[in-house]
Amino acid sequence: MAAEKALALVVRGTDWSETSRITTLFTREFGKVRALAKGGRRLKSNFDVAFDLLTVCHIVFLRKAHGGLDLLTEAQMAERFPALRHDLHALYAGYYVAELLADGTQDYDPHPPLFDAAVATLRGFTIPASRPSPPSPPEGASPEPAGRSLAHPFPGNAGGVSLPPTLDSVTAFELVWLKELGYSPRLDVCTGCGARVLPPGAVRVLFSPSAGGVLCSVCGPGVSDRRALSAAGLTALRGLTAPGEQPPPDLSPVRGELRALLGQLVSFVLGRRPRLLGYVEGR
Amino acid sequence: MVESGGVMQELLEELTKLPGIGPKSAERIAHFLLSGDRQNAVALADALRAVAEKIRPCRECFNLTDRELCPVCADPRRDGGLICVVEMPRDVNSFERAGTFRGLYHVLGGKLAPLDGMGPDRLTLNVLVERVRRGGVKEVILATSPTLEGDGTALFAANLLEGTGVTVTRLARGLPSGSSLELANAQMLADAMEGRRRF
Repeated sequence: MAAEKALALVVRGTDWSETSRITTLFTREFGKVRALAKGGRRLKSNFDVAFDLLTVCHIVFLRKAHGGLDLLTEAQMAERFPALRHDLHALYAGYYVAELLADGTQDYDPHPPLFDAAVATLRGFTIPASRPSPPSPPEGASPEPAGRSLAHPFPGNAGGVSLPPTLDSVTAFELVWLKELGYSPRLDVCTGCGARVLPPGAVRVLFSPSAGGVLCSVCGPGVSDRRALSAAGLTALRGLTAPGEQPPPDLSPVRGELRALLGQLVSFVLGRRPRLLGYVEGR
Repeated sequence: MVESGGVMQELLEELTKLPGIGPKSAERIAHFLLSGDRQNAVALADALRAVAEKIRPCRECFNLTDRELCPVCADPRRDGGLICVVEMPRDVNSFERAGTFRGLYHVLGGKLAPLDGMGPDRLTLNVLVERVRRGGVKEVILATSPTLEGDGTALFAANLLEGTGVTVTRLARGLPSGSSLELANAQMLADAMEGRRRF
């Protein structure tokens, strides 16, 4: 067994026996690694406090030759993200990043740009200056008693009326995740016939997750999971995916549309709807 | 050799369902129970049966009890203006062993962990809010684990309680009493520095 060193993000963890812990780590060097940290639950151990979820840590581990869990021998915390402890939007977005890394990547399949994008996304969340005020009830609704409802404990997520700006970071991360997994959507020409999809004057195109991108008006109607994508949404998506193009400074006009589209695309690639998607979008 | 399908085999199978008990430990426990006074085994069985049949969540705080109200909620000397919110009933025992808290508890039944399918609807948060709305509560102490999931649960609860007028606090964190700075890790020191108090 060779000892390996890596920089890792903790994406899942479960207690094992009274003192040990099984941890899933997304490492920059090796991709996803599942390892046993013997004594990892003890207050004094070789693992510092490194195994808290969404903590970046330097690890040393023994790689098992024939599958099974690797064995962690050392871990030291490198970075934590304070905003996750102060803002529920950021926390859920962080959990969502963890879910995509843990369930949407293979063991020992390294993707350094994906690791960097995950850390940059988490680093980008900032602690709100003050706790936001409760949302005002919709017109005609009876005033809610003191305290918030269980379904919507923070403002800005009720019914998806006002999606939080945190989602733009999530959107950017999803696009990196899709690109690294080889599912980056094709947005320039029709995925069916290669024709130009947005002729001058057109206000919307068709998009299909199973087709892997946009479709022309001839190919589109034959695809069952097609959905409409506005010209503004397509431009924004192109800006976010193409390195040469600049994304629009404010995604708010197309935020809802992009969320719906990417939610469908990520669910298609993952083979199921991500557990955290509803939390992230407040639905 | 244990006879397959016999009562001994049944006991071994039941024992191996317990946390940390493998087949060898199960066999050792079974032989221990049978080698001494058989009355001990019967007493254990009776205790297990009584626990399974009688223990239930407290009507008020969801701590485990064999009555309608747990001993803490039923004690008129406890301060009803203070509610300490914990994840599991065993956390209540930890605080009671410390013997410094004289208020009441509220057991959430877990922590908010959406990655593991543990959403807010599976916790007793709505009952907590109801308790606070009933009045008489001055402070809610959020005593969930000092992990990301524990902090997230506390944040969620704090948001729910916002607007009720109650003071919401979080347990302090940092250096363990009786230890030394030399043994403290970076996070403990950072927490202790952040949560320092006037001397």
